[in-house]
Amino acid sequence: MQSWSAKPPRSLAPWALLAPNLLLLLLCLAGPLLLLGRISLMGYEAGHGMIPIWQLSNYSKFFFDPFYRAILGGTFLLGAEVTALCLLLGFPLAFALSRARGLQRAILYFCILMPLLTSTVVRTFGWMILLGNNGFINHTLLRFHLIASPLHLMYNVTGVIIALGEVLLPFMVLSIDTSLLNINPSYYEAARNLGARGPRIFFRITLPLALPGIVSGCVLVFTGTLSAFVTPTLIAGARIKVMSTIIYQQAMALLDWPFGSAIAFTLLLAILILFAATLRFSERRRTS
Amino acid sequence: MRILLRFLNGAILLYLAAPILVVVATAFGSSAYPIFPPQNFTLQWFHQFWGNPELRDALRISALLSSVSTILATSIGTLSALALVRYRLPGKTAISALLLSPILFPAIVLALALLVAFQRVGLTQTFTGLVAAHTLLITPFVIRLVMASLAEFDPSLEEAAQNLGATWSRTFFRITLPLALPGILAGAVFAFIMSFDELVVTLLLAGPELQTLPIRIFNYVQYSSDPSISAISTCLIVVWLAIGIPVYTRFLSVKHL
Amino acid sequence: MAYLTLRKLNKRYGATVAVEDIDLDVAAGEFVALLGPSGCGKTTTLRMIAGFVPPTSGEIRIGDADVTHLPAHRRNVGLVFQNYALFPHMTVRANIEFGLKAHHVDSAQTRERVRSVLALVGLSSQEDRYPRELSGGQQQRVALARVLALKPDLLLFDEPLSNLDAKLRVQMRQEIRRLQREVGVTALFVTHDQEEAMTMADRIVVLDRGRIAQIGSPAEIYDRPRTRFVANFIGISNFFEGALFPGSPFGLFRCSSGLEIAIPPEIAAAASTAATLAIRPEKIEFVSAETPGSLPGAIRQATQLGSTMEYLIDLAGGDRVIVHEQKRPRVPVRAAGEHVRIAWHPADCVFLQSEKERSDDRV
Repeated sequence: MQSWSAKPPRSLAPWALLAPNLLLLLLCLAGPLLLLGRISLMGYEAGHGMIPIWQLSNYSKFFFDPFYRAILGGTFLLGAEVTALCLLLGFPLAFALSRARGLQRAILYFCILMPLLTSTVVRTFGWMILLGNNGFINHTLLRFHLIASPLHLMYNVTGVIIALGEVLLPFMVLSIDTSLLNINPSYYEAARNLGARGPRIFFRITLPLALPGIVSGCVLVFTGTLSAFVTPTLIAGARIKVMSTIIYQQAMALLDWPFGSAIAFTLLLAILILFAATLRFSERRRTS
Repeated sequence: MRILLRFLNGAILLYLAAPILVVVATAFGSSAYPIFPPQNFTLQWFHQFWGNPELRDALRISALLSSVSTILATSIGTLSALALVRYRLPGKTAISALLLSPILFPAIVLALALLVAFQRVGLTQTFTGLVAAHTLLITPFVIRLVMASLAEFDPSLEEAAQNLGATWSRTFFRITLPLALPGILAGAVFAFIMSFDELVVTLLLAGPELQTLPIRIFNYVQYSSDPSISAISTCLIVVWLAIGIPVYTRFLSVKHL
Repeated sequence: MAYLTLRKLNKRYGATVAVEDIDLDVAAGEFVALLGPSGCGKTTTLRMIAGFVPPTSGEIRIGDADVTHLPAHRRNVGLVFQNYALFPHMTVRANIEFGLKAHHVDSAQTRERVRSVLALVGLSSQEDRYPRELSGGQQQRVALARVLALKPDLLLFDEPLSNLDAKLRVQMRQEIRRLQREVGVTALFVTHDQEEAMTMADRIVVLDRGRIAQIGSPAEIYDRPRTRFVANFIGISNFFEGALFPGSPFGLFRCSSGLEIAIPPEIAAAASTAATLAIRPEKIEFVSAETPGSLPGAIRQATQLGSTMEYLIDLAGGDRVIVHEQKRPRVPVRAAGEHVRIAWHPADCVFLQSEKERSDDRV
């Protein structure tokens, strides 16, 4: 039978289109990650390199050695702190953005996109200039005699939180803005028609309906903090260690790839679990 | 209350813009150490950056790497987006999640995975290895933007073309591709920016011969504070904003503008 | 004694006039429909009464109170939205409780009112469901229950049936009317559907380009339209432009085509000299040649409308009329080309305010 359908055969065409991408993912993602998993179970001896055995000691070392456990806890605490800061600053801004129209919205949007389009290295460099002992903030505070000696803002957690918060804030703002814009304006009118005023409308209508955006914004910022490498390295130097910086250290300086791989795999797993949980949350809200 | 909120938002916006403003300001100041606010206007740091062979070399490497990766990623990503939008596929959601997943993984994890894998096949410290890694990282951006632009246009246009007697290939080249072109271009622009700014994966895979611009900047600011870094950063900020903002506003959920 | 009063209500957006000089009195317990095409100002009027749109000028009174400048949440006017606007993250019960809590009604009474309004709309078993789990008709009932729980002074409906399918729409018309009568609340109902307005309302307010074209009972609006707009928006009409024939004792209307039409004297006395005459298609009959005053013509086109036939007829003078004839046993269906004679009762003629007069008094 002659086919007069104009489309190529249904079953094969999409797979042919997907083939290059799937090949790329197989060679550069699936393969390397499997190898990483395998290496994380191998042994390591200084001077000899990797020892091809199967074992879990890299993971137990990371979870039970107090030094590394402190880094694990510290990384998650940093994530929580940066997320809290971004939520605190992101919500008012997103609220204003979602209410703005026309030119006002365009300007606000530009201000929020500008950081997103500037590389993290450059923005962190800017924070180094601002936060240093001779930096702008200390310089100004000293000049106006608001402080007697420079504040220590670099090479500690405070500086990392300030800089990372700025780096990740746009994700929070855009995510909340999207969910605020998705709220049908007639809900606000219905609430007013039923006799509700500002605060009640905010807490009973706006906030619950914006929750999906708040949650996804928090997850983006939290995972962004867990994965952050550039900002902690430049702002905190060697003083503060987070998971990503010790992965780098193990891999590049100490060459203990098995241990580095174990930490990397733990980080990966933590982030995947967070994403999966968010997906479950948003799906449950949609179907319940 | 309203004035308070406005003031608060002004402060938050200032916080967002502060590092960028300070980088741009120090690029034009005359002191050798980047000080804000800058004293005396000068363009010497731009000359100095241009006269620095290390930085110029890094710029050349970055431009070449990003261009090659962008061409590859745009081709691969456009084909994938077409497959996802225009065909019925079993497990489409899972496939698209898989294709977009490289954005979700922490860069340092991917970097280490690629390092251990490329080590085995001798691809570390090679241009080919960097291109492969960058293509992996930026293809999801192309897929997302092309899918957005394909989803925007009415599939009945393609059906109409076929109804008027156009073959599949004619429909593709005369209807689908021209209509998807803005999305493809936007994806390419975005992918290029992402590739050009990529640091972590490149840092682990590139050897001393392949120092890209972000790596040079990263190393410079760790050990010295040269305003020529501000100068090169300022150039990047301006170029990225000029080509990136139109793409962003067109495609990434800028509603109610 | 009027319960809702609108006085010289105006709404302008820059140079565009949305609502112009609306005067309306609605009696307590009355059900009034605001009818008109999209953009006629009916929804803007409703939103001004609800307090979402501030009027440019004019006055809104409910009972004895001037509410023109009262904020929306203090009006105690229940509004049923076109999309129902049920809060998606709250159950049916929480949706109904929302307004009661805003009004600080105590919890015992809240429970009692939720129970009674749910019983009233017949949804007692659904109180723990979320809006998305309900059908369109059920959502509609919840939206109604939600505002009825507050015992509103006035009930407003903004095209509430337009999202329902045809069968359900007819059923909900009766349901809404039944509830409104049972509660005894005054209601204003916005719609663009003439059938909905005709079947539901005690009185209809027809709006045209921001102004009231006519107020009257459904029968008055249909049988005695005052303007060409009303005559054509509600049902269809045949129009004849012309002038009253002077000096005729029994009343004679001469069309510009030369056609002469007899009209009852009492109508003739009320009409101005230059005017438009309207006659409904179903008021025209086919008659035999002997009938005095009948007009000859030829059928140009015959169309099936279901239970009726629609004939397009060219009259001898060049006028064209539409005739609707009920299909009945032993009445033949006519074909195009057939020569016929038509006639109507003079009392069925309606004189219209001419469009020119109307555009004059707009200035």
